[in-house]
Order: sequence, then C-alpha cells, then structure tokens
Amino acid sequence: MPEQLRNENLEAEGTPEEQAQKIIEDVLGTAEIQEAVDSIASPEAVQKSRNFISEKAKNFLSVKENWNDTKKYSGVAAGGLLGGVLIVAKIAKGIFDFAKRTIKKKGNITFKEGYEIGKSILDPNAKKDKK
Amino acid sequence: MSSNDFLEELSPYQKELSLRIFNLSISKVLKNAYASFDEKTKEEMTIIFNSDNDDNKENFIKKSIPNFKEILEKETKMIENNIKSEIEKKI
Repeated sequence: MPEQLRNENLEAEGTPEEQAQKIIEDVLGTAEIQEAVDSIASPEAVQKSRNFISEKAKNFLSVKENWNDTKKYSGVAAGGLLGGVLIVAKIAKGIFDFAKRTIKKKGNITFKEGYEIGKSILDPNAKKDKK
Repeated sequence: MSSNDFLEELSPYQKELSLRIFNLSISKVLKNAYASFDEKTKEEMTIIFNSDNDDNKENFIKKSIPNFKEILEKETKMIENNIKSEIEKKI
C-alpha cells in the first residue's frame, strides 16, 4: 500500500517543520562555514562592526520589550538597522515556509509521479489517454 | 500585520534563523562597503569600532552606508535565492 508506506516514511523523517529545519541547517551550515573562513582574512574594522551590528540585532530580536523601546533603539533604527532586521526576518520566515512547502509538495509529487510511472508501465495507453 | 505581531509569531527557531541569515548578509554588506571606502574612511572606521562609543558606531554606519537597508535587503535576497535553490536540489 503505497499511501501507507509513504506516510510511514514521512513519520520516520519527522514532521515537515522538522525536515525543513534539517535541510536548512545543511544548507545554511555550509554557507556559515564558508563565511567564517572568509572572515579570517577580513579587516579588523569589518569584523568589529559586524559583531556590533549582530549584537544589536540579537538583543532586539530576543527581548520582546525591545520591540517598542524606540528610545533605546532610535539610533540603530535611524541607521536602518532595525528595519533591516525585520526585512531579514521576513525573508528567513519565507525560506522556512518554502522548505516546508517544497517538502510537502515533493512528497505528493513523488507519490503521484510514482503512480503515473507505474500506471504507464503497466498500461501503455495511459499517457495517450491523458493527452 | 504590525512588525510586533510578525515578530511575535516567529518560532524560536525562526528567530535564530533570522539572526544567522542577518549575520551572513551583514558580513557581505560590510565587506563590500569597506572595500569601497577611501583610506581615510577606513582609518576612521577602525578607530570608531575600537572605541566604546556606540553612538559613534551607529552614526558611522548611518553616514558611510546611507542606503544600508536597501543594500542589506539585496544581499539577503541573493542569499535567499541560493538557499532556496540548494533546498530544491536536496529535496
């Protein structure tokens, strides 16, 4: 029973969220290693400014009270940093949703394609009927 | 949806993911910006980011990378496209 087998496989691989997280970790991890290697050769000013901005973004994202603390973050917001964090967060969510959607879609397509292929092998007229 | 509502809806993993992608993008933005600076600005940047004055650091970025948000968005979209195409290859 292909449907049952497919469901069992999906369960073994985790939920679409867990699978999306796993695949993103694979891809992002590689990019981060490459970036870390490149950073070794970066000027000190670039590294320090990156750490400064990154720390600001981390503080902003991690503490809910910060989202409304316009006084504390006014300077950063004026520089476009906070707007930048929000843009990146929206894109990051988009990547996560894309991975999840692709996993779900691919699962369905695999099953459907497998079914179509199997059908066409067993029945040579199947493709012609479709046309 | 307001920015606060959007941030509220992000899972802890999505927040962590945002920060990691932000760090990748910001590295590219700063490297490119630094490469375009003249020697005087590079020296100024080194002095400012070796100090403890956060206001000066923020003002330097504001002054030296005026279209920071747009450049960051552009870099992040490039990273997004790369990640998406890698995801498609892997799944």
